[in-house]
Amino acid sequence: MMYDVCVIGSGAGGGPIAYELSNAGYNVVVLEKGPYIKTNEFSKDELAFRRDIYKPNLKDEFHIIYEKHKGKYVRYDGREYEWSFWNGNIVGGASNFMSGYFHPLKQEDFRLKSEFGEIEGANIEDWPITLDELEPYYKKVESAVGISGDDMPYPPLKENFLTTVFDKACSRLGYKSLRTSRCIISENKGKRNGCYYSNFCGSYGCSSGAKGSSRVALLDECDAKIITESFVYKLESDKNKIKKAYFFDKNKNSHSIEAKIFVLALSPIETSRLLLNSKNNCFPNGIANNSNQVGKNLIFSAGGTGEGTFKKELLGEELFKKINTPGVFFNRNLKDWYFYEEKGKRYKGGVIDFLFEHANIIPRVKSEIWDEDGKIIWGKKLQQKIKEHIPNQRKLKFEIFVDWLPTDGTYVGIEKGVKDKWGIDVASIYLDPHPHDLKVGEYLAKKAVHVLKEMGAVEIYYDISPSPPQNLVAGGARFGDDPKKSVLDKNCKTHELKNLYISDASFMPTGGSVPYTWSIYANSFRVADILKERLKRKQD
Amino acid sequence: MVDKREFLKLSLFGVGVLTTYKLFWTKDTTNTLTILQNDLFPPIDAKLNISYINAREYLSYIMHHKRVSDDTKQFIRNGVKWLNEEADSLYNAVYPELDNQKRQKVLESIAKQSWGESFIETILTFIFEALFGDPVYGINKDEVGWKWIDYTPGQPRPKKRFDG
Repeated sequence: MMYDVCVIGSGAGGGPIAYELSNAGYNVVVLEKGPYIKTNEFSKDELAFRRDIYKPNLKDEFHIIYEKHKGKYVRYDGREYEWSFWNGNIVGGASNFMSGYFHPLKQEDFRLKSEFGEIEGANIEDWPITLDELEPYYKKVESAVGISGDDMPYPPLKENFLTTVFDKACSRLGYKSLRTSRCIISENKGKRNGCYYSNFCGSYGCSSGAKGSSRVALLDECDAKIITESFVYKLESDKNKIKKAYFFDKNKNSHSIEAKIFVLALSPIETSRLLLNSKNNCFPNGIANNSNQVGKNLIFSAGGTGEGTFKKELLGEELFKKINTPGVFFNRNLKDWYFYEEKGKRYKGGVIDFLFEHANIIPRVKSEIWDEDGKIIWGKKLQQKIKEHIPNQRKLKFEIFVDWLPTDGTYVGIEKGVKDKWGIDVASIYLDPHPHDLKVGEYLAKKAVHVLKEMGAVEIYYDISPSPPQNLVAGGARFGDDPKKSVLDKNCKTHELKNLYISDASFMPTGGSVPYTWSIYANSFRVADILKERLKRKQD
Repeated sequence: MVDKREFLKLSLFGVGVLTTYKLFWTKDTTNTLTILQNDLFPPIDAKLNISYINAREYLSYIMHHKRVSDDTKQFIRNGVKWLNEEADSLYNAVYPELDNQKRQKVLESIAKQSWGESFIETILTFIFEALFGDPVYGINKDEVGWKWIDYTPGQPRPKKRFDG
């Protein structure tokens, strides 16, 4: 059977394509490596979360990570070091497990090179599109996927009392407290129920359908055929077109799919891996890789984290009780330093998200096993510390997002001869962050610390780190006008093939200093419109 | 990224020195682990204790769990062996044969070594899982762990355990 469109991957990059094109009447098939998990099958099982229930077993599927230390890459086998870059291999992908802190990009983010100039050692490029071209699709996500917040289709989620303390502290400091938009609906929408404030949101599947996963918001709302537990391992092409996608079912039987158009949305690392592993006579370095750009310029959304503690003994019983109310959110962020000047020079800064410490109890208790001198404790001394601290304090955390700059040293390759359970060479991930990221992160962290101090938090600390979060990855197949420096054109079609598009975060040359998910959803809706036009033209 | 796996490799190298002299190994590794669990988390009352929350059985479950790495399992086995070697070098007896005061001295001694600190951390982690995980796993009986620290679990709770 020849499908109109074959989408490989069902997360935030794949969902909008399937939703838009199947609802427009086209014959769409989605190949998803993982199973379909229904909303009512999710629970708040912390032990299952700790055992990575919705990710591949690292013994079976893994990555090889090369991290640069003092100028030399050190090799880490993901199996051995339990270093996982998987995000959730089920229908809807990582969007099932996101926290849903949604920030759109600003106009300057599309022109980082033009606005702020080159930075030595960073491969910064302007986007080939502008905010004006993406803006309608940000709007589309607000309603189709569902976003709550100020001036959003859904009213803001309920908030903890501590947000009022935050707002006042910011006001005294002259900072502008902003309510964070969330990809969580506060009211019912069709078959989806509004948020029920479970207190276990990020990293967990949503049990009401409030969180705007690609599965519940889009795939459940269209007739696209989803083939689950199908691992795509190879694309077949001639010099112009993809002919077939080959995949294994869960019993490792091989199948193939034919379609007029193929859209890759496996997430950046696995999208690059598939292209690089699909070599043929026309593409000896991998599909769409005759300019050797596939896998290059991988980026992450990160910068650093910090926290402050609010203690009952300092706040009093009544105030602490208000602060310790579980479930309701702390949806605040600061963008005062999204751009800033220092010593006469204008810099691109970033955003600081403020949020409560995750409700998972085991890491919270485990953090008590160290004394003030950093020595491990046990026995009655430890029990007393747990009993005194855990019920009587609450931590407010902050997460800093800077432009994690693309470098020559951060990219995806293939670890030749190292195979996963399918017998396919695994991806190698090379990490060499740019020192500029740390400089900006440090600047922002100091501002966050001011706020926490002003709020009355104690035991404040922060950690600025280039460590890449596995759940916020982009790049690897950036879009651009120059085929020598990019894999995709401005429509996210590969320069080298007529029917191959990429709609996950791979397209991003830079990521802005925010979590990516809103932009991934928006761009995928944009690509869906481009595909609709193309298919319509052919029909005409 | 350097974590305990890296340490484990180093310590495995180091253990070669220890094994050159008389090697002690308890006949009952489980017995050593149970005594160790009780030393790290002594009974608070009739319910808040290693036995009632089934921490020993849970550790056995973990040692067979598909999603727990082979390195972690091997580290626990090695840790028991090294703990007894430390006890022997200090008191000429294996860990379970020592009185409480001497066992504490052994723990204080291994805590100063990187492998020992990591071993204590690992055993404590699985005690905490047994104390604060969902009772569907046969642990945290009567939700004693949650009640102890006034903790409210997330809803919905799991209906079955995840065995990997």
